[in-house]
Amino acid sequence: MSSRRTCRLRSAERDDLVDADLVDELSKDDLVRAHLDWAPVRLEALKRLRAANLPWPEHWHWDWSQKAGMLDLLAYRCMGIEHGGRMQGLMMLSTVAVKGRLAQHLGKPALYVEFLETAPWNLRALTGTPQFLGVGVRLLEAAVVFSQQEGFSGRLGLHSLPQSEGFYRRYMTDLGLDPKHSQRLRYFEMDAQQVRYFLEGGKS
Amino acid sequence: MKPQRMSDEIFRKRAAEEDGCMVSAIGLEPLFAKGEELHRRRGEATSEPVRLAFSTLISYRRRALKLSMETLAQKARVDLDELLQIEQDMSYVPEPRTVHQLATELKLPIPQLLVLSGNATSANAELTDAAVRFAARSRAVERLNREQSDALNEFVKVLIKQKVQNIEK
Repeated sequence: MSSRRTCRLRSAERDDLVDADLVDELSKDDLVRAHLDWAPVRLEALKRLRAANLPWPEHWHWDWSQKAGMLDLLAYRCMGIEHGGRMQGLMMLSTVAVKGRLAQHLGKPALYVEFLETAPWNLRALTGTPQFLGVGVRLLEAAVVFSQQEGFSGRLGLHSLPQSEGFYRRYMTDLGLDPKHSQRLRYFEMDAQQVRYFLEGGKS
Repeated sequence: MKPQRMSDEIFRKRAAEEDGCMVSAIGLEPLFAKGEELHRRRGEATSEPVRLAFSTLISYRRRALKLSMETLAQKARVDLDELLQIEQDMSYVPEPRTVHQLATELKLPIPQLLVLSGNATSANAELTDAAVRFAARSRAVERLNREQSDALNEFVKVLIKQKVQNIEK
């Protein structure tokens, strides 16, 4: 059963913070609804990008309704950020810990982020004028909090699509191309010091 | 440990840093780390008939697609020894990556195979029931007879029906 807590997003238009809901344990229906909401917006954006001869996002084909079935498995858990009745971003987590790969994490469990995506209208690269900023940050924060609640001290890992590497590299350690990954993506991991920097600022 | 939260001030800064970035992450591998203890724990997650169904499914499906063990191992980039273990050793729990590769090559849904192989648990009783029924009807032989083909087709239909497939590649 899903639960909610308030989190704040940054309105790109007014530059103020607005209340939104971080919804945990989303249902399959939630994912299907999000897909139906996102798909036409994404399609229009892709048409514009094509007309302007601009690169498409690498995750343009993601379909969260297709991922909904993963929620039949206890190994997955989905969170989203909702505002105005619309899902602003989604994240699928693995509830089964992975072993940390950073030297200081060897043998220690870490949370693994399966999928993370912001709604198409929140990506400047797609719309030019995003509605909300910081959706990805809020989802990453939720992952850190979940990792802390699970007793993993905020340790988390993920594989990033190439276009997103710059974002994750700000807050996580780039452990390079993962030869075990089917797409040979780069693997990133966040340690306790990076958690503090991400959440509290200061020196990275 | 009390979870930390981000202040509004830091969030504003982080949101500005995110602006203009393409934010997405993609996973699915590896769900689990290596290690004997983990192998044991993963093995415990699957009952014997379900694990038997996994071995038999891989074997039947391979033969239904007219693939030799060598060919499948090569196409799926899996060690031949490991494929042999998967098909013949009911106590062996393969790595999720291996399951992923085999599922892709055999055109079977990945999450269900992760469950059957002992890498994940499922709240879906229909899947495990179907696996037990399939295992009960199955016996490994060189060529599939009509009854075995029917059993395979029936089980694959149940797997597909769960609609847990199509994980983004």
